[in-house]
Amino acid sequence: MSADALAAVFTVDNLTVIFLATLYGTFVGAMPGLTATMAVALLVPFTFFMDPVPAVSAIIATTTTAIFAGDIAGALLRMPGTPASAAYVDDAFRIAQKGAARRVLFVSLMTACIGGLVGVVILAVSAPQLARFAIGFSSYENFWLATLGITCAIFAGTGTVAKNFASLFFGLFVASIGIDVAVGHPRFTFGNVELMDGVNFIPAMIGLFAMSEVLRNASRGKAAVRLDVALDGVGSAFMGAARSLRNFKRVIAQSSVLGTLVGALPGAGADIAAWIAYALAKKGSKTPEQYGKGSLEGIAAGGSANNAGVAGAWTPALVFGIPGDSVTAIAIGVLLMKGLTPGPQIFTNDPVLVGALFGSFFMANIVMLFTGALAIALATMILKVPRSVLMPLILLSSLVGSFAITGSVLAIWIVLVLGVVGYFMEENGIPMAPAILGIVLGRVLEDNFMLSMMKSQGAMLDFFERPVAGVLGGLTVLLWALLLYRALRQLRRAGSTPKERPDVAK
Amino acid sequence: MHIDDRFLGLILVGMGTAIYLIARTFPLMAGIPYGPGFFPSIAAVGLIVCGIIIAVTGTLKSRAAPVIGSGASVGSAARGALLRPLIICLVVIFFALALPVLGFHIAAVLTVGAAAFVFGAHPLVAPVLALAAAFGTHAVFYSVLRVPLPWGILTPYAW
Repeated sequence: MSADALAAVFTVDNLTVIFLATLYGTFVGAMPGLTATMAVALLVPFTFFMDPVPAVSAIIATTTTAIFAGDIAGALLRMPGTPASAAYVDDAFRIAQKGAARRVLFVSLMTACIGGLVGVVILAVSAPQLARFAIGFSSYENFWLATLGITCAIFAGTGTVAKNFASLFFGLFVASIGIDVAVGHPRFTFGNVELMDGVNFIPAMIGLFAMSEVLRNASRGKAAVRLDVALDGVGSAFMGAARSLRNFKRVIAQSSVLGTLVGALPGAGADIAAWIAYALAKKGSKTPEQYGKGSLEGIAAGGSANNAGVAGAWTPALVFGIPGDSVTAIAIGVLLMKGLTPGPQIFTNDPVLVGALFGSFFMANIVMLFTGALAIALATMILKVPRSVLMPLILLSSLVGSFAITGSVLAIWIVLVLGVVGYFMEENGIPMAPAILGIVLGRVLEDNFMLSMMKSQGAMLDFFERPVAGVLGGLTVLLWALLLYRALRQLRRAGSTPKERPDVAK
Repeated sequence: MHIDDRFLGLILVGMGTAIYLIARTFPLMAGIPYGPGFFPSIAAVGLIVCGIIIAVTGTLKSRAAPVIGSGASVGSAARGALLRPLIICLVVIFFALALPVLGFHIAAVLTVGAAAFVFGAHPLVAPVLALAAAFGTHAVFYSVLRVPLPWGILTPYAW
């Protein structure tokens, strides 16, 4: 990392932003149901007014800590604060019930820090190499990369193949609203001049993640938080966690590397990284029977993998401009807003920013140790903040934040419409990640497709002629075939569902 | 709000059809059979195909395991689960309409106050929260970040 990048990381402004963002991320992450993505979506209006380095630092620090803090609600309430904690929530809760809640949380905090640091080292080493390779890519390769990105998102999506695809196509439709690139024709604007610029990405994200969450909470009604877990002392918990960490060296190393790799797959992200690392650790464990019943080893595996995944997700985002998860999708939007285009060129055009990004990642993981310890000490207080206070505040921040970005009431309407859509999608098993990738990558896909078409005068085969484009295209087509096979299997299985199963007709 | 997959599929088919019909009216590019309507058409056809698959899967599932006692349970809890999100949507519509006219302060106080009531806040807590949220948000966005939040009818008292 250059001296300029180091100087950009260690300014008072940047370090203050990192510190405040870790506090904010801890708080939102600890709240059950409030995801790391929502935390970042609500943060974006503030980053709009920051310089690029603190803006990126704020996003990184918030995500890193929110993913860890998801374990707080997981251990104390058996409700994962963010989906990334779901893999090992039973283990955390069982141990917490035995009176060692804080010990669990310290294990999770320390492994999160190690996972995050391993992730950022892999990112810092691999990203520039990949960028060097990707610098020769033309519109054909970029088109296939974007297509491969959304295809991976379908693969990793949590719904059925048809529902994952429906989500993606909805996202692609939203991306097509506004003036088109080729001939400048207004699409789906219905005469609205402001819509000609397209659906602004930030109100869209705030709608899908924050507004939909407010609606979901409203639907559930008032639920009092009941804590029936006895908390252990902070000091003894810390010492106990540090001691048990030594036993899990191999698991942590394995999960951190694995988490980074899984996180780097577009659409996979931290939650899937945690599930896979947890399963793999169980397979190689001497005590697999404890998994699910209170295995500290399982927590160490999942806890390090999900934070490593946070860093991993930045690799495709930085190198190819293809987001690894919803958070990096938002981050790409923020970078574009700052006039910076993620892609291989960013490594030569803005080396200071890239270096500062790695540095901020590093610092965020270190600062998290302190704010995380504070959160563990104050865990019960955080969880007792009533929903009736929190939800109206989130609602107002969503509306004002979106208005602040565009200075127009249209942003509020976008928040409302996409909030309702997001709420319906989640309630009906349609995952949101493919839609977000569709919204972010829709324009990239279309721009590169149209550019290639103009070059080739409409000849489709040119998309496969360059060697790398051919490989990427072939890979994408192969994935499509696999998806088709999976969809057909799901269809066949639906037809032969046994009548005894009452839960299928929910 | 959970809807039956058969109905969900039909909604998607309807949405896709509408998008497709509109996209067909877009002009083509000279010399290339692709134009502004190409990508929206792909999205539209995709939505239609997915809608059909979801509807068919839903039908097959319900045939294999018929829904016993179908239809949402109409209790006060179920009504509240529908009503509360609806009120929140109305509150947001009010905010969008009132912001330029009544100004940020009044719109925000009423919005936060109403939302707090929906979420079951104590009648004394809601107004305090509403005032604190409105003035706090204004201080951050208007005074610090310089976002031009409208004053509306309070313009003569603007600071």
